[in-house]
Amino acid sequence: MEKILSKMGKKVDSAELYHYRTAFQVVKYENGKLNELDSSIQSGYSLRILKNKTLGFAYTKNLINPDKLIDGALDSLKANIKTNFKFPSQNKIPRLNTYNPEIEQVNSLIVTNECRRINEFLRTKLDSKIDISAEFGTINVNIQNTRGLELNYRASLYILVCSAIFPNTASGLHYIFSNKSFSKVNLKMLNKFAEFYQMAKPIKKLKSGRMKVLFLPATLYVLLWRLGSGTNGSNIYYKKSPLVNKLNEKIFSEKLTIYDDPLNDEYPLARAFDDEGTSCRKLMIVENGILKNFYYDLFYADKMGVSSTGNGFKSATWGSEIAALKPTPSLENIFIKPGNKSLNELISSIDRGIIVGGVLGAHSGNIINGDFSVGIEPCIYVEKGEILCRVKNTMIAGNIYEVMKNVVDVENELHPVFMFGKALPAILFDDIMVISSK
Amino acid sequence: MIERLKSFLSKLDGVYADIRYEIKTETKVVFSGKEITEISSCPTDGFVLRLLKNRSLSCVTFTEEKDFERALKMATKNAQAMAKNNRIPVDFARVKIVKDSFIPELNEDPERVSIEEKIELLRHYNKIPYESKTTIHTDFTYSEVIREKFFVNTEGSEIREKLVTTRIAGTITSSDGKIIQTVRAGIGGSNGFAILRNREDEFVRKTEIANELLKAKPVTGGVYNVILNQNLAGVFTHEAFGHFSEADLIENNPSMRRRMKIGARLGAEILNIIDDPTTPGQLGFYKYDDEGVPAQPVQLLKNGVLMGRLHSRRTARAFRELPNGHCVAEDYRYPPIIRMGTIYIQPADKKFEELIQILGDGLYLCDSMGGQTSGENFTFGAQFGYIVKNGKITEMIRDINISGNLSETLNNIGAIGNDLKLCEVGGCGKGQMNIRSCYGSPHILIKGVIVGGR
Repeated sequence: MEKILSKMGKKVDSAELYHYRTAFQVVKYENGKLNELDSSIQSGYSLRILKNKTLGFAYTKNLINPDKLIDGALDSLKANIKTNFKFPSQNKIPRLNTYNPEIEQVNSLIVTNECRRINEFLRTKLDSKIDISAEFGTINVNIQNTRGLELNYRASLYILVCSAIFPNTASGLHYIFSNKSFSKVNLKMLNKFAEFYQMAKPIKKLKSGRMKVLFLPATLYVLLWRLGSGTNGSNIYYKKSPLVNKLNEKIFSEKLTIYDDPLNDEYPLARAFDDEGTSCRKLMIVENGILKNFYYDLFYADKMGVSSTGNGFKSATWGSEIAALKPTPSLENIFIKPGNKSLNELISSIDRGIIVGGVLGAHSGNIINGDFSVGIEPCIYVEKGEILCRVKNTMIAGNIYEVMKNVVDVENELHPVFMFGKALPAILFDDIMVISSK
Repeated sequence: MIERLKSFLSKLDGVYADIRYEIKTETKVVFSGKEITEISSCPTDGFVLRLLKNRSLSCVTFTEEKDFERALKMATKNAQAMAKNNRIPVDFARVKIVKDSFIPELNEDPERVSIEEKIELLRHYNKIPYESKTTIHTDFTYSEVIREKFFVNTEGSEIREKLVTTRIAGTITSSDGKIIQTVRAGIGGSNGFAILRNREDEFVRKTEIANELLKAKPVTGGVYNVILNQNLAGVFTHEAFGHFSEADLIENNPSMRRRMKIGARLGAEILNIIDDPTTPGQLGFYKYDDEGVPAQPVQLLKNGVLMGRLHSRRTARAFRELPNGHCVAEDYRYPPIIRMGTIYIQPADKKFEELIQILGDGLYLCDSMGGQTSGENFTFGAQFGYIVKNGKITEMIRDINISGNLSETLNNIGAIGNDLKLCEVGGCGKGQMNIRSCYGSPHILIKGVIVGGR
């Protein structure tokens, strides 16, 4: 890597080389049987260069021919992408606890046994199809640039998702567990999960109308996806966000405090620096309902004349080869401040409403305007504070800038999630349009 | 490369194994607004090793050749661990040994078109939306993905295939200062660069729609009779029905498997659905899947009755049905999984005008904004639509997502048009992104669809 950078140093004003290496194993345990044990060892390199305030980019998986990578980056200068940003030079970053060496001792047999234990426990409680998938492994990232920056990131991850599938569907309720290495799932938590499933089993029909809607933590991504779009520094720069001139204005209920906290290493995959080597920090997005910040990478921060917030990550909605991605503004570590009601208390406070157990079609619709219109699957109906049944063929629709003003309460506990958030509470909203077939 | 892959596998004895090496070169030009924000043209590569041992299948993907021994050890260990467990025993359906090298015939090879010309073409199309005063932003990408695949297995198959996918796709964003609307536009295919030339119409039409949507009303939620245009009906076919003709999605789900029995009546008698990746020229074309099995057309639904499903070698054997070459990977980072190739509703006899007359009152919904399914239920978005009154198309509506139940909806298809159209820009994100996933349909009329609305 040093050779490439020293070669580049002579040809351009500055250069940055990003290298990653990941090793992961996947265990899939479906309907009581082990169905899949797969592994992957992936690595790659990305090179960014700055010459006469012009940005170039190239990448490769195998560094067999470094000159080809260099030529690719030089060639890309033709695009004439102008910028004033400089690669960061500081090396002082906080030390975070992201790696548990015990991960190296975890193997597919240990994880398979855990899947079997969970399956056997749930089988005694539920007659549903139970699917369990687990993934574990390590991520190594190294970023170097010709301004003297050299940073290493090592993280370990163990994540397990347990799904109880409703009959005649491929949808169900999900329990998510994550850690920095293997640890056993608490059976008490699984018991709660099983009880919840049982209550939601009978199927009935529902009359359409406006009612209370409780989003479980893993379904809040529908709303956070749209907020992420609205506060993304690139969308602010291109003025394609309803929030362009709304900083320090009240946009949501005062019960909502939403922030990005890459430094919180209580959960796996905390980050002290982003994929450009900028130090990460806790960034308040919405505090007590008031819009506090937009988030930026180096490129769009420069466009807007502000500093990067340390949110330049190589991320893509649909996943992609990491090396091929350029850093873009990205919220990777969203938390929502817990409220003061338990999940049971939230449910008890619903006179008539639904619980969103899962959603269909979160990616469709006019995301940048904040609109959502999604199928609810499973949809659990609550009346007079009691879970009554599951309802089929149901949709909810709205706009986050209206809906998120109507928060009844926020749950007092955080749960790990893996899409558009790190750890979130359940949130009860009022007055959402629910459409159901007759 | 084939010889190198063969030498890897020659170290194995008494087991089935296959190895795929791929070089994927992606050329990208990205416009964000009126500026270019990326140009890149970089090759990436990697290996996918699959091992079938003791009736257990394991897959390891790896980047560097030096990791082959490590990958083999991992695959062996995983297969052994599976054999010791209560796993689902795996066997492969038998297929013919294939030795072939297939390079598609292209209508203008994109590799011979200079990057400057690609930039200029994209710049030209990207300018069109800005002729409308309400356009506030565009995001358009020229993308050219060339996959050169080398496949070898221990049965003796040796296949080289090249897949070339080109497209220009993105979004046009309009605003009147109060609301923001986004419309997708895209052109492309698998048979060369020529399909991207002289296509101004697409960008002009989508610009008009982005502008008109600012005046459109949000749809009122409710249950409607609807006509879906070809693109939207294609997504419906893919999401609502297609995924459940993929054997891997139902094989371990006993209740779904009972419902998807061959011979079961699943839809209206007028409904015929086929998946056919073998016709050259369309987006979904390929000759061999990533298990080395020749792609075959599969009649999925005939007169509303389930006739077939899409298989890998493993599921074909498990279901005691014939393999049909539908096991495809996104690239060298993934094992192949069962995918649709080109799925479409086969055309019937109704002209579009006749369908509108039959509909009488209802909604005419157009162009997909993506969709998702959960087994019995599905949801997908329409980019725009119109209210139909007394057999006449009237005002435009927006913010449309529709939802339904698979079996009810297939039975509620009341009429099918004669105007089949396949998509040029597809895609399916079943765990991996398949950019060549192609779908299509003629216009169709469906009764009693739930439409979400505020």
